[in-house]
Amino acid sequence: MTHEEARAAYSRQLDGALDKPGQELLNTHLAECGECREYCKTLDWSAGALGRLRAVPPVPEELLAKVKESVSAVPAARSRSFWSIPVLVLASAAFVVLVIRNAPPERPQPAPGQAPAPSVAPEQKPPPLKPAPAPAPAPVPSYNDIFSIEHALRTAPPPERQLVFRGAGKEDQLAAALSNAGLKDIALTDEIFATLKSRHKRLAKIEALKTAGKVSEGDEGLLNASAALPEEETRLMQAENSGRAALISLYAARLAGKTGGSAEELIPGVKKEFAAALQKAGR
Amino acid sequence: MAEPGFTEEELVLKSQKGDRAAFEALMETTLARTWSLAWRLSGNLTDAEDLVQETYMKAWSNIGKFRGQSGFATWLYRIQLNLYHDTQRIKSRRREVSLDAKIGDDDAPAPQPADPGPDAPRQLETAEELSAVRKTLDSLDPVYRRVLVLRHLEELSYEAIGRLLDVPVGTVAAWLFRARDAFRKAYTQLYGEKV
Repeated sequence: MTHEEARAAYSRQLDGALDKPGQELLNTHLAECGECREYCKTLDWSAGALGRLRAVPPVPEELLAKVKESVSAVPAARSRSFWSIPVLVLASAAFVVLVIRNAPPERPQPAPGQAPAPSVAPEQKPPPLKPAPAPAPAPVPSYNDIFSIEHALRTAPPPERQLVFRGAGKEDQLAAALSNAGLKDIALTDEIFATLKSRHKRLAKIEALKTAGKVSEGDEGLLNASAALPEEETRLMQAENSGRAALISLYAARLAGKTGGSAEELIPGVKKEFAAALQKAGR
Repeated sequence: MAEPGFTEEELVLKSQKGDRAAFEALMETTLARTWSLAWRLSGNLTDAEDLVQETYMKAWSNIGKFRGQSGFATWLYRIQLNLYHDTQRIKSRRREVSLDAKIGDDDAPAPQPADPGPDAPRQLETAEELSAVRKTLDSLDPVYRRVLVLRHLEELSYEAIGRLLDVPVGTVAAWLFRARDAFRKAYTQLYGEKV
């Protein structure tokens, strides 16, 4: 543990947010480092001093009247129904899941030298007398398959990648990119594609922030700011995190559609896999 | 309360339909909390009152956008934090205030005891110390100031702060560490005392 890490860990400990292994590492460091022990005392002092500002004077008597007067000057804002937006959001989410569930299964790839399978049966078959057996469940994709969409796009040759991100020949080019990366069972919804595309646009700026040490990868697939950032960089980080959070939710919904589980329950696992995929890719 | 017997959700719904009395009832139930945060963020009466007024004006004009995903008070809290942040950014762009000027500022943040008792010297010292702590806090970057107020004065958890500021928990931890470090350095710089 470095001095900087020990001091940051002590700051977490002040808030009761340091886990047991972290505490053990911190204690080991502090036992040997007088400089850090002194520093930590100053953090204690800072926390104590700030806590003394908690006292708040009573609400001024005339404040409520003043506020009412100010608000009365603002025109009334009529709106959509209180529940209309959540309902729309839920309906959209349900639609995404339905689209994913109903996505056509991938056709088997022909062996080298073999003619591709026809897309339409050559002759009409009579309807079955008995109900057709339930189709075998689609193989459940691993998290890594799902997260490899990004990997495939990023590792595709530049001309191909540019075509994909310009939206030209999206499906073909993407299929080629995924095939090059040896991936199967990857379906891309428009929503996921749009999010990936906007992330791609800000990639260089995010990389620059990371190189400058201003942000770092957290363990939940999101970026953490290492210090206060200028407003523009804060917005950039928030946009990136918002894109990542959207991807995580969409991936979880897609996976839930495949497995019949709950997207909400899958999200923590998806976050971890997302973080691991980013770290593995060095991004 | 102007509209007794209604739940918060009902009052929000009525406000969204343009019912001012319902919104005033929401104001009455949330004013103490809004005032508390405004005072803690700004540290003086004038700015705190302005912040409270602007918060409710903005809430009223945007009530239609409230989705009910969090409580009304939390939504209000977020509006207030954003307004404060924007105001501070504008202020810091408009004027460069030297640290020396800040020390001499007479806009005392802490209420003084009206009638000093037998402990007067110790109380005076406490008031001075409080003023010094307040001014040190005010000299920090607004990002640090906000996170310190939310953690040390409002006593919120990392998770709650992250939700309010729309940043991950890891960022809250990193900001708090940097903010505390900045605080101790600023105090030493302003008051020449090693803490």
